[in-house]
Amino acid sequence: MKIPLTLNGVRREILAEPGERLDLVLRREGILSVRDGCNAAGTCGACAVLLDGRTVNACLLVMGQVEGRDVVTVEHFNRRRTLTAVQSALIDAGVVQCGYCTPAMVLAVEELLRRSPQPTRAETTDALSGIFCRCTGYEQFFQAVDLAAKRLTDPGYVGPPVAPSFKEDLRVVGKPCRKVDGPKLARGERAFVEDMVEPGACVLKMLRSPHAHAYVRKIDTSKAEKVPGVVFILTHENCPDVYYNQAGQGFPEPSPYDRKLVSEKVRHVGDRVAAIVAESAEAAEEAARRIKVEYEVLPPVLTIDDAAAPGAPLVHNSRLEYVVGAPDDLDDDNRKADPRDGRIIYQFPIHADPRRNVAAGVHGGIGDVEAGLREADVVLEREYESAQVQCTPVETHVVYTRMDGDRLVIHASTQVPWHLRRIAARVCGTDENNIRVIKERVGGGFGAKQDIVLEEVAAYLTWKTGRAIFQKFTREEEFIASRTRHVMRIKVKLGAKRDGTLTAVFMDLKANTGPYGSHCLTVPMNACSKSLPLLLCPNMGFKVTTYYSNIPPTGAYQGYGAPKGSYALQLAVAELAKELKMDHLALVEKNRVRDGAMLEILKCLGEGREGKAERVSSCGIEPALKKGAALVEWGKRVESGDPDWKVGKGLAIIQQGSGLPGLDSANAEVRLLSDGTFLLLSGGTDLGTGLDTVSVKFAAETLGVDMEKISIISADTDITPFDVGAYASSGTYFSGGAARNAALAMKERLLDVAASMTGEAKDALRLEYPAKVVGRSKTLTFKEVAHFAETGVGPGGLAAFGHFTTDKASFPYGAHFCEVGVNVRTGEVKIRKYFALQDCGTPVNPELALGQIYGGVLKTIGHSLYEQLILDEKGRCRNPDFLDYKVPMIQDLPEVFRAELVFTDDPWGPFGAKSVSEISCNGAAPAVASAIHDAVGVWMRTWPFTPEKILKALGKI
Amino acid sequence: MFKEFLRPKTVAEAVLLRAKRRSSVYLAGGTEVNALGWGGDADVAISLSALPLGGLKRSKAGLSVGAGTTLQALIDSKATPPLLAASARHFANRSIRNVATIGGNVGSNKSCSNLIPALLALDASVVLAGARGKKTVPLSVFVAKRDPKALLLSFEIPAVASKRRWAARKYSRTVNDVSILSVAVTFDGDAAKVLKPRVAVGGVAKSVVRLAALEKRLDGKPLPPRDGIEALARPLIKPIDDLRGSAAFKRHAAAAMVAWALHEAASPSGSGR
Repeated sequence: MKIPLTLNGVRREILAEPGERLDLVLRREGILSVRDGCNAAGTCGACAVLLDGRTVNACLLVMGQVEGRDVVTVEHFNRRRTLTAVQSALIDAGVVQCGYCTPAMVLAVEELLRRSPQPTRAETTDALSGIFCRCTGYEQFFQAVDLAAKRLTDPGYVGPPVAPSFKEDLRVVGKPCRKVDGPKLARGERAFVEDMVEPGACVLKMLRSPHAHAYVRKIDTSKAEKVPGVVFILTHENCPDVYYNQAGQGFPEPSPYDRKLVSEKVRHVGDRVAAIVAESAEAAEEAARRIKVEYEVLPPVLTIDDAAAPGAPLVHNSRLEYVVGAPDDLDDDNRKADPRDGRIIYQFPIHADPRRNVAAGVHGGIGDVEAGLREADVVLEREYESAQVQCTPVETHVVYTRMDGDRLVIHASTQVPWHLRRIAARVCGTDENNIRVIKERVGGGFGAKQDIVLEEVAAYLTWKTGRAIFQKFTREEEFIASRTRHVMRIKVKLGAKRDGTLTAVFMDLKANTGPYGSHCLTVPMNACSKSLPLLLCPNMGFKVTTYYSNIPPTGAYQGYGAPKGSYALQLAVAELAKELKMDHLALVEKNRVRDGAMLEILKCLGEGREGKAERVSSCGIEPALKKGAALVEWGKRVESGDPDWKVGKGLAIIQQGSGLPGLDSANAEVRLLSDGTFLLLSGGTDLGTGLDTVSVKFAAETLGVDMEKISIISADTDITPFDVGAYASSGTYFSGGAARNAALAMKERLLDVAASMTGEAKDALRLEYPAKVVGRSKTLTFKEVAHFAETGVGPGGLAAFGHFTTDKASFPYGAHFCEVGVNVRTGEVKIRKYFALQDCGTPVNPELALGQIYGGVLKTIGHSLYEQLILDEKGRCRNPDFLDYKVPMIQDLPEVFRAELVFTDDPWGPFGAKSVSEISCNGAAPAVASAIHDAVGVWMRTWPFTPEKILKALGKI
Repeated sequence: MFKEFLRPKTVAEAVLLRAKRRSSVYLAGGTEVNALGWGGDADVAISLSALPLGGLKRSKAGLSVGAGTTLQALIDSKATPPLLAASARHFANRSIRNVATIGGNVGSNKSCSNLIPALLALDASVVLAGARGKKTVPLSVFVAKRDPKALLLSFEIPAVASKRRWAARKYSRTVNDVSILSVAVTFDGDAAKVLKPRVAVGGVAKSVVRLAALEKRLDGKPLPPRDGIEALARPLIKPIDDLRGSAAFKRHAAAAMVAWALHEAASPSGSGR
């Protein structure tokens, strides 16, 4: 029926059923800014519209309810490619990261400022209270709203800088500026995978296992195949016998090839049983209902103890194969395999023993830990456990695949376009030249989109059927079938002298990788390699054992194991301080890493290759500790004024890496256009972090032009050169480094051509801002050079390639401090103050760097206090939604929340830059836990630190 | 998905449709009924949008709150008793408050309702329309035995109740969460002599309950210290274990919140959070 309403100021009649969801109808009408992150649970707010001027969730309204009413979406404000005061303010304040929730935020701020032109912090908090943003940590929204309010009355208002500037000698690097993809995202334009789907595309529905551990004894799809509109059904019976892993790592991967597209054995609730391609969602649903599956249900293995128990059911009783380094007894061992479990292929040994559920293992150390412990006056041994948490990007995993002639095109929301191409080629059984991966804007990645969790199925089925296929995970699928943090149990042993000098440090780490071995070696290793080198001690060791189990799959998540390693080791140091009756900060000061220190422990912590000791090239921990201690007033006891609320303070020092030296590689190309402007082709994958802006800045700085003179295309495997992808905090350092190198190469080309034009020697020429080649006698504009190059007598259009690899490691550092309140009667925890002081070398985009820090901190405050996948005894997730998996939102911010950039000038990073995002996740758990202890005297050794656990620890229940 | 969307013009028409049409449901704001995970199932939506159910009316006897009043309107109206406004603010999601109605919230009668404890503590009654006409029943009666076919028209809050001391508190995991526990209290008199106390607790039974035995124990006497109140309250609170918390935790925390709320109400500032 026709439903009359006013949409974006125009009276219209929209053809729809009265029971249809408003958000879905709007998208059908081409309103792409209305997005869905929770499947109409009303918990994410990404579908916000203004209904009669008020912010509401479109997903919770049916069309009948909006008849005759006024509906406004962000498209209403998009006039002639300009930005409204609100849109420009959000971009300038740095709160447009992935951009998926930005249209909703724009509307909520518009509504707020109409009601209250100069809103208080509380009013802003309330206005944005229904919208979930996982990227930004919300704090900079207060700045954005203030800026927007001023611009509404004075459109030309610029105001004081939104963030500090760094490096006076540079024009654009280190200065706040408008993120290059900001306007498109703030206008809610076509940008994400779901916006690319063409009419006629099929849907892919995955029939998922209801059992955590079972063999598929029989599967009958005959009735399902008869459902009109069903195109193809893939099961283990017609699945290619190709093994691979989904980890999205560089080849040869340290993660085992332990799965096929669909296996005969299901290994977690939600594992793939059948992939249905159909012309409509309804047909796919109907087909799913008609597939008959007979399972042989096996007992599930859920915990590390379950997996390690003698005689435990085996998750992968598979036939093992090694590309290199097969053990001598492999044939004997393989006699025990069950053919229904399939195979596992190892690219190289990772000390796996699937007959004991061991997915991977590693151990190592320096000095003599036993001797160090004997030498110690105090030995402390503690165990810390982390829960399973999920990355929760607001845009769930999504893919759109289609054929273009005989080539496969994958529109992906991925962190690893080239690894995806490689894996898709493998499962399709074709060559990489036949596949194009286009990385669209990514609506939040956080590591979960390093793993290839749905793309390869859609790719194979499009390749097989020729049909275009769209799949977007439901929120439930995102919880049970994408990626989560590995569950870890870490035993820390510390030895120390009375004066606090550490004599021994040992981490015995057990990890639960779940059903498949995605990142099973490297995530737990990283828990050690990003926490041990924070302490200087001659005797250090670690032992890592990762177990298979039947919990929902784990994988990469921002921080990559480091948040858990950091939690264990930093909290153990806090506990040691208590044992030694020393001030926590003093103990940290005594043992912490320093500028120029040699990190010997890294010899044994190479990631998939031989490690090597590294010298610390720059380290901002000292100023971070000083500044943080002053901000939090370390050592000063605070009373809340309410006897129920006890106040305590805590701290942690943190580090990460900047990509993987010796493993990672990035490339870029710069082309000179006819008028002297540039096109930058970057392999780098911007997943909302601002990497495209970093790359443009590096090129603009190097070439002496304004950023507006450089356009960027990135992460399209057909157009841009190879890049390993966005993981391991490599973006700025590697992909940015490649853009800089490409610009340096272009500089050489410009000078060569200018030399031939002017007759001057090349070394007498230099580039000068803006866009000039200056010699002794002559000055040429880039336009003149470009023109000459492209004429019939010129050397041809100019293009230059840049490659970045390095053997240098630059570690970002930092210190986090917090002040918490703990209610001794209810166990509630409130974060009163949080200060994150971080050294990322030169902050290339200072406002975005701050946003990365706020976002990382708030996420991990969430992990520390609220978040946890809860499984029942059969391995079923009981909270696969935001109703009961609680993520922090704007009202959960610390009362005082401040991120600060501590400048160091790294000698190896491009323009002195190091990474900033992942490290931000490493401080919250130990800082908050130590503050809780300071407040009420109990140690929280398992996260999340729920009120219930606190009351138990206090002996109240 | 609803197959039919009906918009009756009168209460009588709405009630008739609800009685006649199998698989029908009243639809107000829709934040419950349209949401994923709504436990119900209905083909026919009976929209209440054309009925005059919005707004607050003050009279000598008290306040009448139309069932179609949105939670945001409750907060924005100066006529709303402060306890009820505070409880509406416990819905920490403006996008929801802009459409969700008091009638929908009370009508679904969930134990985690933020409003029911406040309304119970305010001695509210509810005006219902059913097949046999209109009737006014104490909210406690409706809460104890909900009639799913009844149409909620308004809530009547006696003027005297709005003048009592009050406090409200919720416990939730994050701020924007359903209330795992919620408490609302009112009383006359002061700490030296508590009169007509009302103690309503959500999240500890199938629906919101009043702790009648505690109220009786407090009535006419000086307010006991918090530990004493907690000890009195704990045996009266019988929650269940679920994924949101163990029974032991909920009992302990709810008792602590009750004691806090009574003392908060008695304090000179006399208002809760």
